[in-house]
Amino acid sequence: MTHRRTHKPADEFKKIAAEQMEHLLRSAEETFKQRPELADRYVRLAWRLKTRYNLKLPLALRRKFCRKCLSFWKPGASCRVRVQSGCVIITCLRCGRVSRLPYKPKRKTSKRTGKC
Amino acid sequence: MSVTKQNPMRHELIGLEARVVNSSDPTLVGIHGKIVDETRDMLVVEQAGKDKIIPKSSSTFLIAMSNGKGVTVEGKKLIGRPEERVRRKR
Repeated sequence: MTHRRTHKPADEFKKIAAEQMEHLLRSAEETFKQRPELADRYVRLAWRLKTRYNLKLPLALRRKFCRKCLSFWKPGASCRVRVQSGCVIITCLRCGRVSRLPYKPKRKTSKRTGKC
Repeated sequence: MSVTKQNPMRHELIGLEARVVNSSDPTLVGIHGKIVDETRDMLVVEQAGKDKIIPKSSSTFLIAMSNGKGVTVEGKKLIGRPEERVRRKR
């Protein structure tokens, strides 16, 4: 009979790393008010975990930081959030990167107007 | 999985309370507070609004775990980048 492993050790690392990543992003949120530079540092540490262990960000944490400069996003303080023509437009106030996140699944008029 | 006594060092140190129990530098002994940052060789502990940077290699720490228990850890075992320590066994 062949021996079957119940779970790979890599899964365990991933689990621990994912937990740490979420913990770091949560503490970034807590510390942003007092020390924004520390929150950016936590985001960077969380991003390192994410890339090293090939993790996926939970949906709730995807809009919490800038993917270009890895600064923590707090609407009104470190990013600008606007809704325009079917997109949520987030501008990072540190690096200026603009991310457009469409929220309409069907785009009927977009072909004509050329807008997102 | 929570931070337990069996695997304290594979978990995140940032946010935990720590105290320097022993160090080759006597001025660092007794520093206590929240761990706010971690690099490969240093721990940054916030004590009374000031950041104290403590080398891991020459200190012993008493770290308060989330279950309320304290664990004494030799700093030498903590050396390494935080994201790489996940993979190491103790």
